[in-house]
Amino acid sequence: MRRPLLGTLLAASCQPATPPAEADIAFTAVLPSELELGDEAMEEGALRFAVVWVEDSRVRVSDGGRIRDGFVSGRARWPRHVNAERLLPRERALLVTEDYDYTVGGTYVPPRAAYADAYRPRVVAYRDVDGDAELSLEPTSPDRVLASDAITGIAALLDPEAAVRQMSFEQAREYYADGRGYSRFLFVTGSGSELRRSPPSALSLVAGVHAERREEILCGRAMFERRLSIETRVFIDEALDPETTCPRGVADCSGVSLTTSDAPVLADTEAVERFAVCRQSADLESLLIYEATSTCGGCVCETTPSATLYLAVRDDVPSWWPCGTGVDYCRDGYDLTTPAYCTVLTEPSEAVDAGLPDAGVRTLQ
Amino acid sequence: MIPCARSLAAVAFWCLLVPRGSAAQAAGPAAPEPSESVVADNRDRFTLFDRRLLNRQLHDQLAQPDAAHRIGGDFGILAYAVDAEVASVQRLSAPEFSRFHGYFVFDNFASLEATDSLDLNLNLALFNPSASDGVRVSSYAVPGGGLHFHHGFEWAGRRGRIDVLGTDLDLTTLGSGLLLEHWPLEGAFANLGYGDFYFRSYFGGRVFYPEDDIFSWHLGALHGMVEATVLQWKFRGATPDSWYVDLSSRVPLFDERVGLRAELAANLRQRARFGAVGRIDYADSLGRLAWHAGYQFRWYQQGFGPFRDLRAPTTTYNLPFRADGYATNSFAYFGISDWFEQWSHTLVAEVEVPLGGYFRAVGEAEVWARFVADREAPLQVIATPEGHLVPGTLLDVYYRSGLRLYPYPNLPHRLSLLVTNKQVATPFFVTDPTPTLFVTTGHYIALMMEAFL
Repeated sequence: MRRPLLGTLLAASCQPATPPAEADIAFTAVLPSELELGDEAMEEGALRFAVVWVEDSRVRVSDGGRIRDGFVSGRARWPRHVNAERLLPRERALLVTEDYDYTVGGTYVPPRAAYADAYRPRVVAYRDVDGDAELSLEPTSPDRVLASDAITGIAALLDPEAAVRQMSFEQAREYYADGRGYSRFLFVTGSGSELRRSPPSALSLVAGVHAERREEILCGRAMFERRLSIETRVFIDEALDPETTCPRGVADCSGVSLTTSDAPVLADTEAVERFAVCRQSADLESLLIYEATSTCGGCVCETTPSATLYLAVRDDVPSWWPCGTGVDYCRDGYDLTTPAYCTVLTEPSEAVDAGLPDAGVRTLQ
Repeated sequence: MIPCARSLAAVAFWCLLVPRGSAAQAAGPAAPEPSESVVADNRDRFTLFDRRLLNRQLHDQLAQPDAAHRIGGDFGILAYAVDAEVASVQRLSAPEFSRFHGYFVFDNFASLEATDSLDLNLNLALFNPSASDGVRVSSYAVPGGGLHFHHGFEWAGRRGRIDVLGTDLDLTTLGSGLLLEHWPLEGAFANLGYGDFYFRSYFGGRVFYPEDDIFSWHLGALHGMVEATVLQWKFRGATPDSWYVDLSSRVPLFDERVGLRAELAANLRQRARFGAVGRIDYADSLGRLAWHAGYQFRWYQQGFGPFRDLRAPTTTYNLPFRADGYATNSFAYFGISDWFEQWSHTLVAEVEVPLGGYFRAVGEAEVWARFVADREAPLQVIATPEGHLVPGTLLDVYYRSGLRLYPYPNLPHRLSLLVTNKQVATPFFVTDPTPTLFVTTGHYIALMMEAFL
C-alpha cells in the first residue's frame, strides 16, 4: 500500500486536478549523409536546425540551435515553456488511430478509429547564411533550407482532450506507448493530411534543395511536382558527320570543333539533380552532362531537366576531355548517345578532379 | 425465526432485528417478500426499485404474500410468472434514441418441481427492443436455464440445507457489492447451510471480460451478517489471475429500516491493493407512502481491479430491468483501476407518494461523485467509456420521476409516465457486449405499461 488507508479516506474530499497537457517534445534528428559537416561547410554559414510552423503564410520558427559535428546523434529539445497554442498554425492534418478487437465472443468487431485535428510542424536543417541565427523563408533571404523531415515527423494535437475522448482504452495505451505523459505532441507517420501515430524514433531529415523545401514548408506539405520534358543539346566534333551521328529525335545537333572549344562550364544554379558520365564505343566517346533545375511557386515545383552531349572521336579527344580522369566511364550497355543516368561504373579513376562532379553521384548545393 | 443469543455478537445484532420483511419491501408493488428460503438471495432490500424475480425457487417466491396476485403460483409442480412490459421511450433532449425505445419485454419464469429436491428452472426473456426495426425483425428469445438440487436436513437440533445450482445464477451480488453487485451470472453455485452458518461457492463465467471467470468461496455466519470470502478472478490466456481476500458485513437495524453494509478486500498482487465499500440505507413506509435514502462510499486503490491493464469491462444482456439497479457499480471502476486510484460518494433517494385515487408520484435519484487520481508520473489522461476524462472529478446524476396509474386496486399492474435520463446502453444487437450500463446523454420521456402476472 503506498499510502495509509486513513490518509486515502481523508483525501476523499480532495479534488484531483487534471494538469494541462505538456507543450514540449524531445526528439532526435538525424542529418542526411549529404550534409556531412566539414570545416568548409561550417565556415560558409552556420548549419542550424529549427522547428518551423506556418500560419497564414507567416513562418514561426522555434528556438532551434546550431548544428555542429556530432549533431547527427545529438538531441534537441524545445523550451519547456513554449506556448504551443500560440505557435500552432492552421495547417491541420488528421490524426487517425485504429484498433481491432476480435476477442468479443469470437465475433468480428470492426476497427474503431479516432480522428483528431493535428498540426504538423517541420523539423528543418538550414544554413544560416546571413548569420542572424534566424531562419527566413522570404524569397530574398540568403538562408537555405537544406533538409527537413519527411514521412515521419512530429505532430501537435489541436485539442488533446478531444482526441483522448475519442480513444478507446487500447488507443489510449498506444498514445502513451513512449512512456511519456499527457502531451499534445506525438510522433507520427504519414503523408498528405492523414497521419498515424508512430513509435518515437529519430527523425531522419531528407536532403533537398532550398526551393523545394521552402515550398513544402509554406504549403504545408501539400505540394505538387511537375517534371517537364528533357531538353537535349548535342555537340558533335567536326571530325564526325552530324547527320549520321546525331541521336534520333534530337533536333539541336551542332557540329563544332571540340578541340578549339572551351571546356563546358556548369551554370551556377540550384540543380536538384546533376551528373556527368562518359560512354565509349569502338570509335567514339561521349560526355553527357545532365542537370535538372527546379522552380517553385504556388505550391507547385517544376523540374526542368537538360542534357548536353559531346561526341568525339575516341582517338582524338580535346585536351579538356574529362573522361577517364574526372568522369568515369559507364558500362551499362546503353548507346553512348543516350542521355541516361549510369548504373554500372568503371573502377574509380585515379584522375584528378577536372571540375565536374563524379559520374552518377547526386550532388547538392 | 432465528433464535437469539447464540453468541454475544448475535445478541447485539438480534436485539435490533425484527425478522420480518422490510417496510420498503412492503411498499413495492412487484417485490416479493425477501425470503430466507431463496438461497443466496442478495438482492438489495433497501431500495424501491422493482425487485425482479430470481430464476430459482420460483414456488417459494410465489408463495410470498406480496406475490399472491401472480396467476401461476398454484399449478402444482409447475410454477409460472411473467413480468410484462411494453414501453415507448421518446427523446426530450437526448441526441439519439436509446436502443430500447419502442419495445416489449416478457420476462417469463417457470419452474418444474421434478422431485422434492430437484427443480428445473427456466427464465425466458422474449423481447423486441425497437418497433422501428420492422415487424419482429429484432425480436429475441433469450433463455436462461438451470437445475437446482436442494435438500434440507436436520442434525443435532439444527436445520441445514444443501444446494447445487446451475447454470443460470441470475442477478448476483457478492458480499456488499465491492466486487460484484446486481450482476447477471451464469455458472454454478453450491451451498451448505447449517444453523447460522453457511459455506458457499460460486463459479461464474464471462463476468466482466470475454475470457474471465470467477471462482469464489464464502464462509458466512449469523445468516450472512458477516462473511469471509476468497475469490479468484481467473483469465484465460496470458493475463495473470487476481486473488482476493474479502470480509463483508450486513447489519439491519431498527426493524430493518436501517441497513449498514461494509466490505473490505485485498487483491493479493505482488503488492496488495485494497478496496472498501461502506453503505448506509434508511427505508421506511407509511401506508402507500414509501421512501428510501442511502449513502455509499467506495474506494478502489490503484491496481485493485482484476485486470492488470487498462481495459474496459463489458456486459451482455443489458435489458431494461437492469435500470432497477445503481450506476455505482464495480463495473464502472475496474476498467481504469490499473492506472488510477478511485473513490466515490453516492447519494440515492427514492420516494413513492400516493396522490389519491389510482395515482402515485414516483421519483428516484442517484448522485454519484467519483474522484479519480493518478498517483504516478508521467500523467496519463484517458476517457472512460462514459466519455469522462480522467484523472479528475466525475459527477453523474441519474433520475427517474413521474406518475404511475394503478387501475386495479391491490394489484401491481400499472401505467407509468416517467421523465428520466437513465436508459440502458444496449448495443444494436442486444446480445452484444457493451462497456457502459446506462446512456447518459440526455433526457427521455417514457410511457410504460407493466403487468406482473
